[in-house]
Amino acid sequence: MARAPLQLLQGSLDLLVLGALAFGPAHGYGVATHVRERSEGALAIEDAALYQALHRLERKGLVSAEWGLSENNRRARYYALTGDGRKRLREEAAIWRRYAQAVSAVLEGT
Amino acid sequence: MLKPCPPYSRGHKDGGSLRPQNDGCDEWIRNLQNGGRERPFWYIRRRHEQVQAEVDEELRVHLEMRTEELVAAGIPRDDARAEALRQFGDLEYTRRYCREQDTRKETQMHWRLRIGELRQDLRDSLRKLRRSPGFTAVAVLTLAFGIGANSAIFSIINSVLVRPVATPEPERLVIIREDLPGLNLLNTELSPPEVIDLAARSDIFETVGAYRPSAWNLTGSGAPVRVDGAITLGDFFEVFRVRPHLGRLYTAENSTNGQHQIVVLSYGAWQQHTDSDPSIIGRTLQLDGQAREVVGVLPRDFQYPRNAQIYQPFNLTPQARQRRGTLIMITVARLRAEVTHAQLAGQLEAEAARWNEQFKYRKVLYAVALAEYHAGRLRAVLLVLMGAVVFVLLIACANVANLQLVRAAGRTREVAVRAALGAGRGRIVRQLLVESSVLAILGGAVGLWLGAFTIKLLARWDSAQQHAFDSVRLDGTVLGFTALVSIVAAVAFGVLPALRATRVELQRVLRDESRGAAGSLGRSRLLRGSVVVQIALALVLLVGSGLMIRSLERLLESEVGFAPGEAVAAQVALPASKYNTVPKQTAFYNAVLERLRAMPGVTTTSVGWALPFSDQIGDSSTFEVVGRPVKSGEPERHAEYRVVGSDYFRAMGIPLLRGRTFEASDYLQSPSGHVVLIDEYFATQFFPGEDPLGRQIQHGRGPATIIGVVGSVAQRQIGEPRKAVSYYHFQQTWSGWMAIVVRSSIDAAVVGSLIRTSVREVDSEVPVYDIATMEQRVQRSVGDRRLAVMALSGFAGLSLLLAMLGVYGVVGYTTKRRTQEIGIRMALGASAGEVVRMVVREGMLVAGLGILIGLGAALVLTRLMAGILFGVGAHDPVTYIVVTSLIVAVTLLSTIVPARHAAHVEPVLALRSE
Repeated sequence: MARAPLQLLQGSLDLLVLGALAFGPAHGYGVATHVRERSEGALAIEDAALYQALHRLERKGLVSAEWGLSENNRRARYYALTGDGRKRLREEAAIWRRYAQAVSAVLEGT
Repeated sequence: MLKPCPPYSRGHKDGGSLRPQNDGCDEWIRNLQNGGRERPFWYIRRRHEQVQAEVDEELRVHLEMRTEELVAAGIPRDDARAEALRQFGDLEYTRRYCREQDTRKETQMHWRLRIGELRQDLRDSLRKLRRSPGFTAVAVLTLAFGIGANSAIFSIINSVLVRPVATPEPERLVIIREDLPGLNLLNTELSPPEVIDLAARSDIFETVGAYRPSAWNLTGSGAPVRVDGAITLGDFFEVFRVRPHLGRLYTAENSTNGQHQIVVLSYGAWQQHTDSDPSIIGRTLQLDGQAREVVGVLPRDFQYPRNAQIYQPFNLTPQARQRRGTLIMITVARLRAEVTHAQLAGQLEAEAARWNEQFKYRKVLYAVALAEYHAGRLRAVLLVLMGAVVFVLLIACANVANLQLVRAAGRTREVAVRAALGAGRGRIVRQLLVESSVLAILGGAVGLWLGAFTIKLLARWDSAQQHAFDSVRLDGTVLGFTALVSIVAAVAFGVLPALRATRVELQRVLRDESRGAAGSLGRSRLLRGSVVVQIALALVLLVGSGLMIRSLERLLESEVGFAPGEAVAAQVALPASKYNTVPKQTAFYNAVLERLRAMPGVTTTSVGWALPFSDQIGDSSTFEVVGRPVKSGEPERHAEYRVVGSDYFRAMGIPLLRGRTFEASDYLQSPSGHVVLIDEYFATQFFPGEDPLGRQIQHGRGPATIIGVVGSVAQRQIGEPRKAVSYYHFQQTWSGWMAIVVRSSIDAAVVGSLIRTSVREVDSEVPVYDIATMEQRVQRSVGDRRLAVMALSGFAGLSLLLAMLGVYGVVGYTTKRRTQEIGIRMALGASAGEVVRMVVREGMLVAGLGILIGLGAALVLTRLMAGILFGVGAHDPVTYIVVTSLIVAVTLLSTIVPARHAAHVEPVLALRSE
């Protein structure tokens, strides 16, 4: 946690959220934690933006939500990928990888 | 451990109608318990609050977790909370944003659900309608007739009889008429100098114009054709503010500056006779052998007078300027904006007074609104017909209502079960709404088609007559009105009764208490009431129609003064350039008559000008009685005159009362021996109490001796008051366009072609037109009235049909409900006959009430019709008796059939049925 987290690139927030949920349903706090841990602190989604993204994705039908019980018996809202969400994740991830590969290839050797 | 409640945000992929609306656990359970007490509109607002609450909770939970995390890292609780809040970001914005997203999602799903339900409702409705074809057919047909046929009949009448003129501010247009009470000349046209005088009154009138109908032979290409038109004086076109389609329209000056040998064509004439030639302006047409330059073409929507094809300026010669007695100009004027009709009346009175003072006659001037003048005498008829439309509409609605009520009764169970399974009330209402709407829309669509079809049908039927049905369109207002009312009725009566069913307690209904007293008694009363209303309405319509029919009969029976029989008359028009002297004209007619006389089967043949009931209106003028000059202060003498052949009166069947008719010696002598015949009315008016034979009158030309008195005839309308008419012989005066009359024992169609052949043999350039028997012409004159009678009868028949259907349906339904009761009666020994009598008696009681109410209404309402009836009183007993008997017979029939049906059910089955 020594270095400050990176600025999120445009449009990658939704991708991250979807990616986080690929591992199973989670509530908003859980998604934030997941992203931070998996990126080893490099990425930290602002809470406000995260919840906005979650609700937006829900409206678009890419995730579904239902109330459930958290680990400490709190009522929490759990999000899960829908079929459409899974498909969108696959597509976006593939694009992202190709993009990253391409940029890396261009920057190779600099 | 709490199980999660059914998710509210999951979409309903199946959308089954009986699936409960899942909007949170409590809601769901409550719905079920309350049997569907969902309130859709408040629902949305609650959702708003609930959504906000949930968003807030979610975010609160997050903040708590974040706080715990920070506390676990060693930060004091209060600081941790603040830090968590700071780390979060814009909380307020997020709250709003998330709430908005959620609400949008809710709405989206809501609509998807609704549309899914709607689709299913539509499918269900169509399936249900298909499964009860009888109900569907009757309901749709009833609606179709009520909307379509109704509107069609009215549209036709409206456009045919009313004939509005396309002009801005039509309420400012008036027609000026005059009376000469001393001569018993009422409601006549004006003379040209009088028109000029009125045109000078620019303080009252914006523009004044006048026209007289005329006709010409159009020759040039192909067979000669007779075209109708108008000769106009003053600023005729400007009165209507017409702008030409091509070229220009001539003005008042053309009548006085010598440039009157020009014409303007109507749009129809331009299309028909010049093939819409765009370069027609400047070209000439051959009218009556004279070349007339076409200076303009009128626009398509201007048709006044209605069948005018050619317009020419009146040639106002100095002599014509003096003759105040030629009452031939139909005068139209546009009032100045600030002049009221009352002021106009006063001004006309003053003007007439000035004329009377100056010219020593006694005239009364008055004005009639243009629309009134043309449709005035038919206004009452139109109102009656509009009333008929409303009546038929009411009956149709009552019928549809009945059908819906009956149907709803049978579905109480279904509705209650749906409600029990959790379908909200709103859902049920929507279902029924869709059902009723599908029915109503079907009915409306068929109605629209039926309306158009009816018009086409009537147009074809009427093509033989004079009415121009080709331009009739289904009147949008009437169609919209009838459609609206019918659809509202269909929907209201489809939804309301079933709504009441949702209130009924579940248990009672499920236990088959469906024949609970309250519901079905009220329904029966409603049904019976509607039958009473239907019968009453049908009766009123039938009485009205019956009175009109008898009125028409009387009109046709009334004396016309001559014997139409099978006398055939055909108009010819001699080209003035070729036949420019009396001897030439005489030679023509004699040649034709000779040929006709030679044909076997021809009894009598002659010629006549301005026959009764023809399009020619004849002429009238002042005259003098030789030896008895008009004393000062006395009105001038005025009478109509005609020009006829020797055998005219015999051909027309006009009786000779005194003296003799024309003989060869009369007209083959020198002009000094002019003779004239007068009619009875002439004799009584101008020679009261004395023998007119041998006296002499002077109608402009030299004196003529009265040699005989003939019977008076009706000139234009049956039953009109007679006018004084004098008859001159055609060989002694101008006779450019006469009709050839043939009375024979030959078939009328053959006579027509005989006349054509004869004329063609003598001169092939002379057109023969308007060939019809006198009987046809008389009938034609009542064409408008006959149309109205037909329309009204159509309405009455329609209403009877609908009412009968209604009675049949209601009786059928009520007896079916009583199957059990009937079964008991029969099991207890009642015979089938007794059962039938019982049902019929009850049915007739209801009908009887309807008849009584109907009679009462008819007695009152027909008094309003008194103005358009002829020869029958509004309370004509024959009509009432016939109509009442008809209704009694019809309702008896409608009652017996279902009664017999009910009585022939096996008692056992009846007892077991529900």
